[in-house]
Amino acid sequence: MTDNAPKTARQEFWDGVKDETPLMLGVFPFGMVFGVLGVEAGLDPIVVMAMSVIVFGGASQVVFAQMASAGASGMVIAGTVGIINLRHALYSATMTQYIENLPMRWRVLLAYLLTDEAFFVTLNRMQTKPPSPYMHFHMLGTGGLLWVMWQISTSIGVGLGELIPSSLNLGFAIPLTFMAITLPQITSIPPLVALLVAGVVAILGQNLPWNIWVIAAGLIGMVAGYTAEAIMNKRKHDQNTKIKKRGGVSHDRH
Amino acid sequence: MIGTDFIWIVMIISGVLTFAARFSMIGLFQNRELPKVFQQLLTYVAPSVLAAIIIPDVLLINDAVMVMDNPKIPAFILAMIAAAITRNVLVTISTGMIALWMIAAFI
Repeated sequence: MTDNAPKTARQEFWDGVKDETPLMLGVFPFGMVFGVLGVEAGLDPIVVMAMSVIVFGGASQVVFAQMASAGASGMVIAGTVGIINLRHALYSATMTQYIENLPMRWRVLLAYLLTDEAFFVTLNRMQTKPPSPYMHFHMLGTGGLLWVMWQISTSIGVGLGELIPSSLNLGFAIPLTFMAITLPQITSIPPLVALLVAGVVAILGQNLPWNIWVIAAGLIGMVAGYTAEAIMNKRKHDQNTKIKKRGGVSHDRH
Repeated sequence: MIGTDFIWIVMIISGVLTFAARFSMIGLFQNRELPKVFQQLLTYVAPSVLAAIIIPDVLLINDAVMVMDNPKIPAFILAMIAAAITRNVLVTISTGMIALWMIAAFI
């Protein structure tokens, strides 16, 4: 069988698991950090572990625990979690272009598993490898492994608590993990513009209510990247027109 | 601190809102071609959203931007170099964490 042959469901699933595995070096400490933090915030250990199942969204769970211990109202906490995780609607829109004709139970399952780390790894598979009718099994692999590891690492964090010194700064593993995913994507100027603009908005927006800066920075960054691409295309187009007018040959004809 | 019973309700609402975001487009727009502009905007999801998470994580300490005396910055730069050279997630994360520990130990 060649590399280009469509893969079976089983192969897609295990590819997903395999592609997701290196990220566990970042996800596992983060789950432990959340477990420790949740207990320190005064939440019942059962609540901390249940949150990893019910919400299943790392950064938002940390914010939940911090806000609960700071005495925020229930409405503000749930609203903030909702807004932090609004970015997943963007992942949902991206993913829907690659999965078709799935029964409702599959769509519900994939939506539940649609976290940052699973989405970006499966998106990479969708974009770089030939399509197969079983592509959604890849997401089951990435999301499934992530889910299992998130539950285990949360429980370990809850169990070990203060045995994990905060001076280890295990939370730093998360920006490192995301950077390792992002860097290969920055191959031209427009994504770099998107990244920088989103970063600046995220910093400037820190004091906005409800952690709205996450989605605001994401959306503004996307528009910035899109605009940069449009400007560059226009410039290229203008240059080609000039060359054509002088009677030269355009290299960009296709 | 909110009450024990109430926290379950808050948590379930948080979970429902999170699921609603994740389910939204997968659930409702199956087999429908998205508008071209929207498709192109979505190609920038990764650099934008991840930068929005990464950059405050690295630059902020206790909710304030710290450039000096922030061991996360040199550690992160070293990890970026490792990522650029090796393109390997394990090497990238290990480099960053070990660098952070070493820098923190020597300052």
